[in-house]
Amino acid sequence: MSAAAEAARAREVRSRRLLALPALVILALAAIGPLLVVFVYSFLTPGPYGDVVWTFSTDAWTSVFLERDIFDDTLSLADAHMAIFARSVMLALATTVLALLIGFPTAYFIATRPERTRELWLFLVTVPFWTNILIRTFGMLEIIRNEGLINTVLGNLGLIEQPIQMLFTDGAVMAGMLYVYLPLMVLPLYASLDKLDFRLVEAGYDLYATPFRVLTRIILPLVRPGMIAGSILVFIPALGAYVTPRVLGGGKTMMFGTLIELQFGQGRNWPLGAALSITLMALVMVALLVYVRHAGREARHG
Amino acid sequence: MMASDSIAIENVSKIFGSGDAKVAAVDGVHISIRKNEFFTLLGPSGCGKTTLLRLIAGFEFPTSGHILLDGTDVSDTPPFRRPINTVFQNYALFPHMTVEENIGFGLKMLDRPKAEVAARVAAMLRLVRMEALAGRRTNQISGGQQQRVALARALAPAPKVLLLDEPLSALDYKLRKEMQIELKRLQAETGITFIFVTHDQEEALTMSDRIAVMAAGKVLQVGTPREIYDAPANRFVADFIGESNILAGTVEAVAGGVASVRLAAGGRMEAVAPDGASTGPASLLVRPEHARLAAAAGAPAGALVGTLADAVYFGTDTHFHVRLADGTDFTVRQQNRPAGEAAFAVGEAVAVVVEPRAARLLGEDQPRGAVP
Ligand SMILES: Nc1ncnc2c1ncn2[C@@H]1O[C@H](COP(=O)(O)OP(=O)(O)OP(=O)(O)O)[C@@H](O)[C@H]1O
Ligand SMILES: [Mg+2]
Repeated sequence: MSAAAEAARAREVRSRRLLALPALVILALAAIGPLLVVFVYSFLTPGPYGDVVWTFSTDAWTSVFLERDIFDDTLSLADAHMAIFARSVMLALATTVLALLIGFPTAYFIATRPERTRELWLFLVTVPFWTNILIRTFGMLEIIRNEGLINTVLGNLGLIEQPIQMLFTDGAVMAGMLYVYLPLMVLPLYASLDKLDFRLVEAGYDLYATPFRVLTRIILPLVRPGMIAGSILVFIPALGAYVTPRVLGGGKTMMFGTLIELQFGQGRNWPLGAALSITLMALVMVALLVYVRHAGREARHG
Repeated sequence: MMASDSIAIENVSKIFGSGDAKVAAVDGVHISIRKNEFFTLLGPSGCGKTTLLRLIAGFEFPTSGHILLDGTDVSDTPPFRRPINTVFQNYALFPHMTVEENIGFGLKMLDRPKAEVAARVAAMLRLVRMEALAGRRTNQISGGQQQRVALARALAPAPKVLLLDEPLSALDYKLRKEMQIELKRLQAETGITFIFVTHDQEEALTMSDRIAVMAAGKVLQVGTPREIYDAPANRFVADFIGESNILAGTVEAVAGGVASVRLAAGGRMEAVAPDGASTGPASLLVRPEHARLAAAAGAPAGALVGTLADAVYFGTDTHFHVRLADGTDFTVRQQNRPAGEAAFAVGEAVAVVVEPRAARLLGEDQPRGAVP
């Protein structure tokens, strides 16, 4: 290539970058900007009435994971935080697994309906999206609270004397999240199952695979991309869920989302809230990396 | 059902849909297929070949009738308990497994010991000459190779019956010829009963021990290729297998298996008559290669005469299309000889000389309306 042509090319590349500039600026301001603020805040000192004081400090980060003993100033693992992290991860995982267990038969059912009725079923799956998550969660609250639907019915039937305490338990939080996030599992699973060549299922039966083995050795491996996508779509919002644990979990069963909110509200510790937010983001990132690697492998294998 | 029968299909019908949309995809089929037979189902598109195969495999269950495998009724047995394997029309290889894993799948599902599976897979790979590609994914091999893998996969568990649904239709001509020979070889070597579906009549004639010709869910005739070609049961079979000339006429007398027929196109002809033939209106079949052209002048009395409408050169032979007196088209296929043969000009009056015993009286047709 001649020097002149090369120069022309370089100019063109430069002008293209210039054209992309407005989009990059908006992206930087809207997406990276706030994150940067959160990042910077996590290294500042909390102000007396919330807000931050512009003094550098790593205290927030220390207290994400460690606790300073008030008497001898030694550091130990922050048990309270660790318990909340663990509960968040466990609840998010349990929600994901349950969503898979319920979502798979649902998606399978829809994918095996006649073409005409499939759209109707899919439409029904998306109906919950029409309502605000807060309202849906309060709907759940109405069902499970002590004076709610379940307890009233069971009580009137004489099956129970005392109302069953369902509200403000981990189970309540999980049920609420399951209800809210289930469509996010069903839709990608359906997309995968819809592409599944059911002649392969017949080939499996033909080759002596029992229905269970057809499921585990043919159907599941082939819809794995959908299972992974659905799991990620449920796991990530479940891990950082705020509304559901707040409404159904009460103050006792705290999760990541409610813990962060606490720091910006009553806790008046914005740097800690910021540090916790970034920790959550890191956890999500790890989950995404796992996903990308699995999806990549799947694509190569076709 | 005889002891030598592999599969007996007893009055099987399969009806899809209900009410007005009812389709009898298979309609009262009654055939038995012998052990180690190469049995072909032949018929036009939509005549129920695939449905019959699926009934045998167990993917569909008969609306009425029974299917017997080696004398045992398997009509209600699910496919994974029938020792019958299928080579699917589209191969249906598992995309998430290698060639080797595909071939071993059936044996693995039968819980055979690992060593046995490995040995059998190796033998199958050798049989279909795919050793070199054992570790490939099935989307990384050619169509012909996929076809061979599908075959090996279906043969590996050593089924009693192998079902093949147009396995060669996706292959090009040369590969198809090769695979036809390979299939025959495998059938002879393995001793398995092959039930083969095709709508290619040449394939059916060259490969089969027996052929069942189907139309609209019914079996019209079962017989060896020669029987089907030489003595078709009715006009549909005659039309479907090979080329045929059908002449309308009236049977005037039947004696000793020979009918004397007055033709609508003029003249009369002796025809081989099936048992139970009677006088009255009838159709005659004459294969194009069983007739030849002669000059109209000096044609024997009673010969068919007409005008040469067209002559098409095919290399090995020439097809002459003759328009007979009553408007029927008659095709004569004549082998080409080294130069010197008398040529006929288009538009010329010609005589058609039918060889002795070449004309055949056709039996009663099935109700034509039902046949596509
Ligand atoms: N699942 C089904 N539901 C309704 N009708 C069906 C079904 N399967 C097949 N049919 C009908 O049954 C008839 C026979 O179909 P089949 O697939 O057996 O034909 P075929 O002989 O294999 O044709 P081709 O040569 O085109 O493969 C057709 O009219 C078809 O429309
Ligand atoms: Mg078919």
